[in-house]
Amino acid sequence: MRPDGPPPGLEALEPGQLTARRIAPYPRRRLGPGVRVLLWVLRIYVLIAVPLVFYAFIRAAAR
Amino acid sequence: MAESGARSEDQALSREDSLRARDRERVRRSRAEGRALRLLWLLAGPGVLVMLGENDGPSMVSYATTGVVYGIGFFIPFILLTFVMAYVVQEMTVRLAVATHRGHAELIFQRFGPFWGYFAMADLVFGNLLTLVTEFIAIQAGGLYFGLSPAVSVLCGVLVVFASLALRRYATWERALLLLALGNLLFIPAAFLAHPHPGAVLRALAFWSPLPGGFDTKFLLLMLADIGATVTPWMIFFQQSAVVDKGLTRVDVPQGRLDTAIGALLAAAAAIATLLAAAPLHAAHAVAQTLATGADFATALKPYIGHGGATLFALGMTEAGMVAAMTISTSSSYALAETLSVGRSLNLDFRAGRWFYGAAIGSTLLAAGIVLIPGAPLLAMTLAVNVIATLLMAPALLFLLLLVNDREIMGGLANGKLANLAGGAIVIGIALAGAVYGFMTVFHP
Repeated sequence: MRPDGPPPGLEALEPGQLTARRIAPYPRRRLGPGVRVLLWVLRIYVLIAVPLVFYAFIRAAAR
Repeated sequence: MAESGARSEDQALSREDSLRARDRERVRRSRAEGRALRLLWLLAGPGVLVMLGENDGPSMVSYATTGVVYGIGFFIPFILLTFVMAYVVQEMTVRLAVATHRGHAELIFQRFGPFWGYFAMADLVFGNLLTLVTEFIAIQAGGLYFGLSPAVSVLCGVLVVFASLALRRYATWERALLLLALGNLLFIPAAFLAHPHPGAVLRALAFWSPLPGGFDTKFLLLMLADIGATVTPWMIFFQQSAVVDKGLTRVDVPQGRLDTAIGALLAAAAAIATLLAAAPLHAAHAVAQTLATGADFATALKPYIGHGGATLFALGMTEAGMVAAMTISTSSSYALAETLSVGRSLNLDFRAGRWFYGAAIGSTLLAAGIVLIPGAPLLAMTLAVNVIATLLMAPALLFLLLLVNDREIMGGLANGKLANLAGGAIVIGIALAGAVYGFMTVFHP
């Protein structure tokens, strides 16, 4: 495979579109303090929301 | 080292890449020849599919209920506004897809780590499974209107989903689904048969009137349900993955935006038409609580829009469930395969895409099976779907905004200040509305 582009027959694709290239993961994002706080708020939200979902389901099923 | 090089060469020449390259070659030629309409035809699809796919069984019931409860008025422009919001959200997924060539689930996994990656995938796959159940309820109800037994209707639905997966070619799958999705527009002739007063429709569009009397819980719930019927988490995951699978690149962003806008317009037209078709029941003071499925609405509407109109309505409801079953099961496949980092394309053969196709086949069979279990708590599941979708909209939208502002992966396609202001306001509005709806549904007596 040519390192700078797709192999013959696949010239219509951008290098990043090739399956082989897409296997390589992006690195983890370095999170700033603002994003960290947001994600903690999200964790708390999820902790409240998930039991609510189960409660809604059980209550509706019991009707 | 040599072995790994050979493996990478094999992967580079995979069936998926070859088929995508063939599609891209057609796009390149059309662009070189300056054929704008052909170019749009080649590049459109994910946007129209996601918008018409979200006009699913429960959404159409929600629009019809709005028509029965409030008639022609405030909700017509309101529904239009919700699709403007849906466009703003979905447009971001197009940019994310062309900038990264990655699906939404894998981006969350890679950029924010396994915890959020598995959370996003699990909540989507679980929510999608319950939504699939509601789609099969819609298919079953539509079948009942035409005298088909539940087992026959559900089996037909399953076979259609399986047949679409058997195509093993993204482009063919997409075109077949687009053709089926146009059935969503059956609600438009049904609306004409209801003979809505053109002046009333125009007045509603221009002045958002008449306003429903009083700002009560029922009004708020319907408003939030209509928002929930327009923007949901699976749409974000589906459109981003479909754009990647289709192979759009940075130069295709204008066509991707147009595709999304056309989809939003068509879906808004179908949604408003559903409201208009059901509006005669408002004038007749029908009780919305007695109408639960598409078949109930079609039967109740027969004296007002005739046998033909009611048939169109019932067909539209069945089609809505069918198209959504196909798009939603595919969205689960993309998310699961992306998180597990295995083959994730409708261009894969069955061996290479066993996890991908397995997820769609498994979830379809499970949902269809649940619907056919005598005494299954289907109502509870329908309620749980709404609550899950709306409560979990907030995390999905937050990750969308974080990703689309991630300049390391987005480069020049990242949100600008204006886009963040508009997008951010809409995202916060939808997330809050979703959360309020979820909490109200749970605690509403």
